Amino acid sequence: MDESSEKRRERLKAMRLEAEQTPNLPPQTFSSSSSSSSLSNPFNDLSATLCASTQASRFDFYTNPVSAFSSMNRKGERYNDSNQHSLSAQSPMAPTPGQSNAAMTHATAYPMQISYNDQRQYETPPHRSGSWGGPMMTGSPFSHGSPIPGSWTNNNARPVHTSPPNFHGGIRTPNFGRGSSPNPNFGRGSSPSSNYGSRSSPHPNYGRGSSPSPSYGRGSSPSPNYGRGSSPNFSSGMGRGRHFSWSPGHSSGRGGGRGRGYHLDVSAKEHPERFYNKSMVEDPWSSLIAVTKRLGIAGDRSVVSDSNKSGTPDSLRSWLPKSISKKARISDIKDEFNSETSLADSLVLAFEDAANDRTDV
Amino acid sequence: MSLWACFNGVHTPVLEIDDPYKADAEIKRSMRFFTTVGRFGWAPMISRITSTRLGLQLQISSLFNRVSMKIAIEGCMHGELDNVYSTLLYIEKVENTKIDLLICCGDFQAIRNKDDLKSVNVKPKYWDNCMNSFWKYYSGKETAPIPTIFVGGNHEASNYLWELYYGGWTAPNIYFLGFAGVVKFGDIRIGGLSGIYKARDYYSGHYERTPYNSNDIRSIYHVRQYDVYKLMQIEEKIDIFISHDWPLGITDHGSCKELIQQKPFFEREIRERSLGSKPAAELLEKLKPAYWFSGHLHCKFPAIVQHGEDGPITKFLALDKCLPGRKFLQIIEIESNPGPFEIHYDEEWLAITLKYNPLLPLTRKSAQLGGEEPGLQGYRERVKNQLMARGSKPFEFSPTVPAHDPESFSGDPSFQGHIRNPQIESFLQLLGLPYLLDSNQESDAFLRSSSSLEFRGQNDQAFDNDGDDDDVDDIEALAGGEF
Repeated sequence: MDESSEKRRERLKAMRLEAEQTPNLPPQTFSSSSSSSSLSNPFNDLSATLCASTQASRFDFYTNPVSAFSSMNRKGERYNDSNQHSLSAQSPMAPTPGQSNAAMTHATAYPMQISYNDQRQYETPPHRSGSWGGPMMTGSPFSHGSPIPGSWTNNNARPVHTSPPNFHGGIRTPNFGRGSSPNPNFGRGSSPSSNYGSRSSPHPNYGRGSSPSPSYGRGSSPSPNYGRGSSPNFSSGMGRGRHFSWSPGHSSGRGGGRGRGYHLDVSAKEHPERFYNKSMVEDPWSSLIAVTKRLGIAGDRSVVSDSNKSGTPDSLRSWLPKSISKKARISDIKDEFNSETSLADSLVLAFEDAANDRTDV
Repeated sequence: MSLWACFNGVHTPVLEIDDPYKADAEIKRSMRFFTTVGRFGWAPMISRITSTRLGLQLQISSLFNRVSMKIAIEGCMHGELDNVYSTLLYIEKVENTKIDLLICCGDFQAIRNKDDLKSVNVKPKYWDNCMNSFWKYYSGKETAPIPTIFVGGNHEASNYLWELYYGGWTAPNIYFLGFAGVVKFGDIRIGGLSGIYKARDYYSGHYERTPYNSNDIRSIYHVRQYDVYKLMQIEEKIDIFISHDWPLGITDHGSCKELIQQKPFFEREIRERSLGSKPAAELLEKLKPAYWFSGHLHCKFPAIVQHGEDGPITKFLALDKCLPGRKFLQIIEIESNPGPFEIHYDEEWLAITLKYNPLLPLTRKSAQLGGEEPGLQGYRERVKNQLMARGSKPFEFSPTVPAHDPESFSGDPSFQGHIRNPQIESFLQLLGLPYLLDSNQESDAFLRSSSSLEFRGQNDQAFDNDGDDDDVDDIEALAGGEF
């Protein structure tokens, strides 16, 4: 508090010098209050970012981030599982610790929110083309990639966190749960929202450099995704994935994208909870009352020729499917067999009928 | 003389009997056995004894251990098999349950390879998105974890579904009900109608043949009177019925307000009573199934129909397509015998097929229906005997074209013309029917194309106006919907 401005300058200078003398550290470490205005391109110093070998090994199991690139999927190509593992830490595409997704950086674990950071799977079918491809295609071991689209020139990505990333796609542990997820990456919105990390977004997705946890999505909800990177486990990496959020309240971001819905960009193999809704196992008719149907179709004549020929007396018959008309069936069956006499009689009659049928042949 | 047991539609000879009084003792002994077994779990019971040409037949049904069959209903599949099955497996896990059957209400997109895309009514620019995941199940790369039954919608590989017009396996464990069809699953009877209703094509025959022109690729999935007429002949109770589009007027039986809130652009059609399929509504009125499920409009809409005062009720449910956060699945429970839960041919439906197959219209002309016809009994006897002799399980799946190969640089091979599916050939042989699906009564390419052009010339306006209105996505997009 009593520090003079001169002392403060000196202290800051010393800190800068100290930082310059530590070459292999990430250029910037995450701070909850940090918000760099001039983020560097993490690929300018790939060697530096890749040298964290102990952490890089984490990416061996990581899902191929290339599969997230719509431009590849546009060709309808898929990768084998073997390809998945070939994306090792040596790949320039491998996300590096310290690189963060913008959505992560701002992801707040609001109570009653479920946060996900999705990434595509190999099995995931091709999806609609996106407006940008992946710079990470460079050096990719995959043969089916499309070249790096020139339109994607985001150099803002910068490692902003040194925590190990949480790769939801690679690990089969679901990262969901209401309110208390240890990996709160995103807020949940009431509709799928896209967080493209658009430059126009008030919360740019500047962690988008090389993380396999892309955070774009589709939807129409104008909802920027907020968050705070205070989680011990968060998805760092380039914002190239799909981010769906269903938040009762605090989800925000930019919605975008619209399509014919023939293909999903998020896989239920990885995140089935996003597809699951409790109402799926609840009685959908519980709040309804039966409304009597008018006979005939709005006064029109039938479109089925002679539709009444077979008659409609069955309208008076039991409507219950055989499977649930248990009482009637049980009583019928019991009646049929509750007397030895009736059984013997029926057997003899049936036998005689069968014998007669056989002689007719 | 043989004593046959019939359980779940499966006929098995169990005893050889020469004397009726001996048979009496044998059968009573069998009954004691069944009853005893029933106390320990499996509880079949002789419910009826009938005589047939082959001998006495025991109808065995379960008495004590009725179980809850859990059936998952899905709206429109759009090829998202991976996601739907993954979601179902997840539901099984979190709900600690077992789902016995998946029913899909159309737009299945059983696309085996890229060549099939030429037969899907989707603009080529969407082809890549359409490949999706069915081909993996067709090729055997993936296996459906839950038996699946589906009807066709308006986004289908129509060439493949036409191969299986009478119904059959599109992939292991994935069964197409046919353009119209009924099967039994356990003792649950499931009927279905494929396609969507368009008045202009309703009375036509099934004249479309591959390669489809721009008109045929749409009309092929339009519901035909012939198929509806066959379904109208069903007399025995249907438990579940599936259609892609909704029965006309069904919105009177649910919360219209909520529906319009979800889909405001349907308001006019609801008000004008033009939302839905007229023949489906007639089938609903005739069959009165306990459940009716539909897709097509990409939203969840429950309704309860009461058929007359104190009459039976039908629980109707429409569901969305598979997307995160959308209500595309529903699990229901239906009481059933303990199984085995397998798909079997339905005797009555096969008899109807046998009876009406000679009238199957394969040109633009409508079928000659409604004349004086003999009853169904004779056909049923023939079918029953065939099923007793052969069994009632559908013929095995057999692939007919190579599956999509994403690794292939040369692309998927292309095939021209109709392919006879061995399942259908065997099925028709079982019924003693000729194979007609490649009938070229009107399939001469020149004749067809010229007649199509002529037809189109006369109906340009109609076609143009009609445009893509089959496509709910387009309707929604135009209306500003999300998708």
